[in-house]
Amino acid sequence: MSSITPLSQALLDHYDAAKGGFAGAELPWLAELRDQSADAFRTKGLPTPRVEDWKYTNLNVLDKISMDGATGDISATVLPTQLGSGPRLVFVDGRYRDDLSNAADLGAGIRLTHVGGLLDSDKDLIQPRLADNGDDMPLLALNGAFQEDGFILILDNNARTDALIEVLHVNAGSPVSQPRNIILAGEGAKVRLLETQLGTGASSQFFNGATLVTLEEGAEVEHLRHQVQRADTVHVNTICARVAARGSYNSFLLAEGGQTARDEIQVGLTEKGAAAKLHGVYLGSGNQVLDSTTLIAHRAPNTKSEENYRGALNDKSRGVFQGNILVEKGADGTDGQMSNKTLLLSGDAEINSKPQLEIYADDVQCAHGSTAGELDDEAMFYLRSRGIPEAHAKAILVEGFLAEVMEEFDLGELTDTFRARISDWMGV
Amino acid sequence: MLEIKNLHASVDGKEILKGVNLTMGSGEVHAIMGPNGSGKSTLSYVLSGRDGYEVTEGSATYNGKDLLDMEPEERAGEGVFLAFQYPVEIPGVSSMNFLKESLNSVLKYRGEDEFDAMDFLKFVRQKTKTLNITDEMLKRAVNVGFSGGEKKRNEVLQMAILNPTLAILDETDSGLDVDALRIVGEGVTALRSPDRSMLVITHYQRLLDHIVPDHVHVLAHGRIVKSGGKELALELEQNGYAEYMAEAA
Repeated sequence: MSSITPLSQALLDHYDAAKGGFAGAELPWLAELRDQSADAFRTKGLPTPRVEDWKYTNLNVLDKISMDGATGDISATVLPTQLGSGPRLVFVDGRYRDDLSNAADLGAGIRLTHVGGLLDSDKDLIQPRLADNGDDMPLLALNGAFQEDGFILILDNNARTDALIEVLHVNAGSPVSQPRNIILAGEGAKVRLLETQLGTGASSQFFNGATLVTLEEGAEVEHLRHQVQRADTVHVNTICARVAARGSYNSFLLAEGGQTARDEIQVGLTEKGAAAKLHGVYLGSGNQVLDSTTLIAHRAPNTKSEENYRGALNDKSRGVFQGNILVEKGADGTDGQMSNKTLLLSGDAEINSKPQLEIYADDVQCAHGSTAGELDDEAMFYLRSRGIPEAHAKAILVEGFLAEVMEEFDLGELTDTFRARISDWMGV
Repeated sequence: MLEIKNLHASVDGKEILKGVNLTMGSGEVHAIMGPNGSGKSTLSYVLSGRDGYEVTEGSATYNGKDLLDMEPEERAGEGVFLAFQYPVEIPGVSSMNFLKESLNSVLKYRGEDEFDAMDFLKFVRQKTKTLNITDEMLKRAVNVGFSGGEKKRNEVLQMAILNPTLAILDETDSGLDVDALRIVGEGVTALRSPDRSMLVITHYQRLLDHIVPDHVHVLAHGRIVKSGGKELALELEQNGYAEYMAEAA
């Protein structure tokens, strides 16, 4: 028997004791799915830095977080942000809040709901995706064991909308929150989704979210994410996406919160012409660790991926970028481009950047690049010679550097919001 | 009024300026000419406050204030402007935004009202016409993908917008073809005013066909070795700098 960390064992003990009271515990298929996930987690437990993929991000910070507190009364939680008028779902500590949500009519063939709101009759549709724990992903398995709620977005074939759908995960009081979400986009469907993970509570938290995404032939999903957890939160978010022929999954991440925060994406381009675009911006300060780990698996011919992550790191913060492009045998004509650039704004900031290519096919076009550096002295002098004070000049350069990723992705109406976050972060 | 007295400056411990003396009255245009390596660019950087240039002796005051004691942005606020020999490319920052931030910073320093986006757009459009700068150029990132001529026109535009009282033009003619030189020259000449003095630093006389100076100085080996009227530039064009290079050697 392999040995797992005491914390991993404590989580499993907690699972065994609490599972009878989980939402939907009376549904045999859901209970079984949780047990299977718990078993998957049991084999290895929480990863230690000895595991290659977790070398730079140490989850021993979880020891400081109390795991046994029960979810409190979430019905009175006041949101810190103004809610827009568009379609949205709000989750507080991983549980759906109907009174704050507005899943108004999204048009024919589009269903926005949550796991707890599904009927047993939906089982055939969602069970296969809820059961997916990826390949050797212990945090995803842990999330699978504790899954109780999460958003579900289902688009029938050819259902398309230009409306920006918002999902807000507010972490208010509960020490642990593990939502499990699903996006199913049918053939030719199209949707844009902004997912915000926001910490507001008084104590530190462990957020372990997961989103399982399936794109059928020709579907387009734009998945925008904004991670603004509390500065003492341990945050892990995992996305597993599968993309069929000519589908395109496009993800943008703005990561600024959390003590230790990891965002992990695995995309499988499973059929001809499938594409993925993974872009992101990370803003680190204090002693934050911000980790972006991605795996794009090209499994079929003529698949395409574009990956571009940029960050600015201040104080003693550390960035981690692990990007892996895997081109399987037979995936000829693959086009995979990956870039990671970091601005180090302090002598104590650090980036661990590990771009990787694994290629088993012929006739592929793959490239990766990684750079880290300080602000350009010449550009600083240029701005200051035009009357712009030093701190402001710095902010303009950092924002400009990061804005290039946003422009390349085209964030549409969110451009100004995200740019304003960067200005705020720079303190101007 | 700019007064430079016995200015000595070093870069990486190597003395480049070895006692420059120069007085410029309001509204005057002075040209500084000299061979490569004579210290022309160093003088422009020392006056505008670039890091890495250490003043070891002497002084430079502008309107009675110690210029050398100010940050670059304060000098800009006081009315000093440097047109760069090699304007810097700034990816991700639109020209329009850069110009607005710049003007508003200077206005703020001077205690004047700042522009909002709409008024600024109108204001800029008045200035861009004569310089042949399109709206499309203003949307692009600062100097990114600009031709040599576009970059220099952009410098003149910044000068027109910031309305400095002392403009230092560092080799503004470098990298320009005849047509671009004419546009830039005319742009600068249009900005001549009794309230604005200009220090035109150049290797060649050709720029001075467009911007006719009141005074011409020869800088060689870190000192001004000869001063005269505009005819001195023509003389240099014919005879070259050999005389001055030999003199100090």
